Amino acid sequence: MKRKITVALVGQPNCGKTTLFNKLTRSRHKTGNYPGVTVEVGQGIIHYNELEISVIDLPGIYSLTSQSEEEIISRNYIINEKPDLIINILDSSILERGLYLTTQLMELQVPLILVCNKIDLAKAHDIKIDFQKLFALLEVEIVPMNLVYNVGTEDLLKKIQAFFKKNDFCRGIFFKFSEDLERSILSIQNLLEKDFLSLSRWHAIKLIESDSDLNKEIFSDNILKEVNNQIEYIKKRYHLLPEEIIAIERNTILSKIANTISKASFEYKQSFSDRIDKIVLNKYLGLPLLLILFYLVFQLTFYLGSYSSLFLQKFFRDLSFSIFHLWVSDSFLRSLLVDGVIGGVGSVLSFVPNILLLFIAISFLEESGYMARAAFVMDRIMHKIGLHGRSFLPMIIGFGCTATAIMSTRILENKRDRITTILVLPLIACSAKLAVFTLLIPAFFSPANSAKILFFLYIIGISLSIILIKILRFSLFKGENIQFIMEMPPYQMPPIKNIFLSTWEKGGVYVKKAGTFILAFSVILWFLSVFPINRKALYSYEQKYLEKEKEAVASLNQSLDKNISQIVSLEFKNRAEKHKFINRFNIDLLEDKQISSMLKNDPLSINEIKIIQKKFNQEIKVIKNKKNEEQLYFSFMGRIGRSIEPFFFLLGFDWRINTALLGGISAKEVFITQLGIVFSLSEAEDSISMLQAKLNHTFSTLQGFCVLLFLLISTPCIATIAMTKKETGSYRWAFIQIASLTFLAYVLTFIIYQIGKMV
Amino acid sequence: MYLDQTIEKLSYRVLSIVDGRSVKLKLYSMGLYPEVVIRIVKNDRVGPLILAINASRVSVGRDLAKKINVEVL
Repeated sequence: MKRKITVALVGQPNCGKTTLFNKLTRSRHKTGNYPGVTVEVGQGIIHYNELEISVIDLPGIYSLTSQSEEEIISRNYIINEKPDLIINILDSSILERGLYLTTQLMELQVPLILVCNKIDLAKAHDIKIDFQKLFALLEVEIVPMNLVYNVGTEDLLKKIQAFFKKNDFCRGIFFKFSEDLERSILSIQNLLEKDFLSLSRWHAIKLIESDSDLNKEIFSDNILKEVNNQIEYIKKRYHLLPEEIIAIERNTILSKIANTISKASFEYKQSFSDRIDKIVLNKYLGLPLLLILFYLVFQLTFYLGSYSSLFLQKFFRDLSFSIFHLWVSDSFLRSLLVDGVIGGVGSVLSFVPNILLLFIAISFLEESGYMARAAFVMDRIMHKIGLHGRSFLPMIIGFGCTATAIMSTRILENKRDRITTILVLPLIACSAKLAVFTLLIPAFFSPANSAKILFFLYIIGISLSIILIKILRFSLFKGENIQFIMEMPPYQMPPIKNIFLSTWEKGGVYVKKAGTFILAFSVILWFLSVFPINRKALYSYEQKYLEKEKEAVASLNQSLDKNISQIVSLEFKNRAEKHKFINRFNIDLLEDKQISSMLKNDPLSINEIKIIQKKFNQEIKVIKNKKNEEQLYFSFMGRIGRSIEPFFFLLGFDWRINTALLGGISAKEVFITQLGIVFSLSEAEDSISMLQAKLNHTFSTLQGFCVLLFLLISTPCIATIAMTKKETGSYRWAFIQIASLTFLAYVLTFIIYQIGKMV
Repeated sequence: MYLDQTIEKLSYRVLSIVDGRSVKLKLYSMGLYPEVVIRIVKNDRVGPLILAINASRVSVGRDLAKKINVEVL
């Protein structure tokens, strides 16, 4: 029987924590029921001799205060879940700073091992660390490590094993603060120890620091009163907040320790990374370099991704088609399966290649250390808008796909920046919107003006997003301080395993979380467009169909030899039976092997068949489209489209546009498909110019522009809504996004239409 | 003087930071605290700055730099 233990990895960002995690564990899955939180906690298993070690990868944090989601999650995990051992990973080249977190872990008095990673980097900086001395000072086991060359991992596992064999753990020592501060802490610590056995010095310090996430209800009034007294005393004594003086003294103590254990030459040494930064962060070269790199990311995501997306689309189209062939029926179950479920799954999966490629690119930039530089370069510009420099990448990705871009906002650490970016991202016209625009614009504008209008739409989107960011800064996120503070990690060759594992995980999370949402919504929209069934239209369609079928069979019999016509018309009837219920299906009798071999030497008959089936196919297309139009008109979606007509009439839209807009919620491309249906057109490509002509005939240029504007700004597609919900962790933000954008679209389009009418 | 007026390649001692509690605590946890010696790696007069705190490099936005009081060494 193996002994099961839990070990948590804790460390500052860029200390190599995730690399160690990936080195130690093979498989990895997400743990964590952390509602409303987007920070991820990884879990993996290692089998080492008689131990089964469950490794928890906690988010990177600088300290155990409650300043960020990451910090709160990590410390709550340590306090509530009580892992058997904490492995604190430090970057040896900046040991002094890493120990800042260590001292707080020691105050918590948890079983602890220190891993001093990146010993090679320390050497490169001429820092020689005396680990013996460090061990003597802290009384904690230390494992020097270099993950690039795989030094130290075996040593770590051995130490863990030894720990659990003896069941004797090092928990480290306390550092004493200056006399008066120490006295205040002790007075609270003593009170706590009377009431609670399990609460330690750490709680006393957190109480004095007025930590906002500490549950104060458990403490007696007596304790809280003493805390307030001590806080007042410290404020008077040091002229600083207690949390400040504690942080400053902690740093000062660590600086002394660093001086005793390491022989760091205090001479500044230009590192390899500094030399690269001379070019990458150059005032003039930095921006062009960044644009080139981001352009490559964009191309990789969407150009390379389009091949696999096309392949997936083709796969799902073929799949639907084979189902049509195998399951000949007009049942709604088939329609649900094909149009609802397969359509939905298809649209979920068609994003996967893009997302995977995007995350490969992002993790490469992130792991190599470039992302921090990109933020640095962009901060100059983005800062003026009111966003973090890192928001630039999601904005670029937004031109390809909004849903994917929302996922890429994970590179933003600050929640405020993330939510602001997510909320305005739909205003950056994505490629699906571009497809709709390129189709609609020529319907209303001359070829000479088309490009200008398209460009104008992009500019409107970008300007609106900037305005919206500004508004958010003064409304929902009023008063929140955004300050640009960021560590610039040294450049490194990105560990390939990290890149692929993180990409793989994110792809999986997308399919699971956003996928189910998109699927459910696709089915709902399918339902709205199919129900209630227009029986009258269906009946009249079937009647007309039979009529046309009879006519065609009669013409076949008439124009072909008797012995041929029997076989041909039988096959025709067979195929017509299927054709009735398949939207995009043309009868081609010559596909049939028997017929084609029979007529091999009879070009006249072949010609006759071709003429008859072509006529039939065209006639059926017309009546099918008529049926589809009548169905959509009769459906819930059509009814909603009609019932909101008085409201949208003010924008120049009629029920057809409304219905198409509703359909566009599932994906922006669907807008065109639905428009085709309401105008009784088939989906074949030749019909696009027909649709354009019809639109031009039905609507004025002003109305056309209003449709474009509304499409640009209004409700994002399902995938975007799903992503917003997933990435912000709540329906609230998704709702705010839908409501505010639709409202904005309505108001702006209203103004433009009403003014335009007067002019 | 304030951090934004510093000159590249020179070393400074941080005297005080005049900003909100959370910003200060974040800076302290990253090793930027009163009395610490820093060196300016990059200061372009626009955009953020880069400081060297021992072997680590931290970039600080210009607005924040205007709130960090330093003296030249």
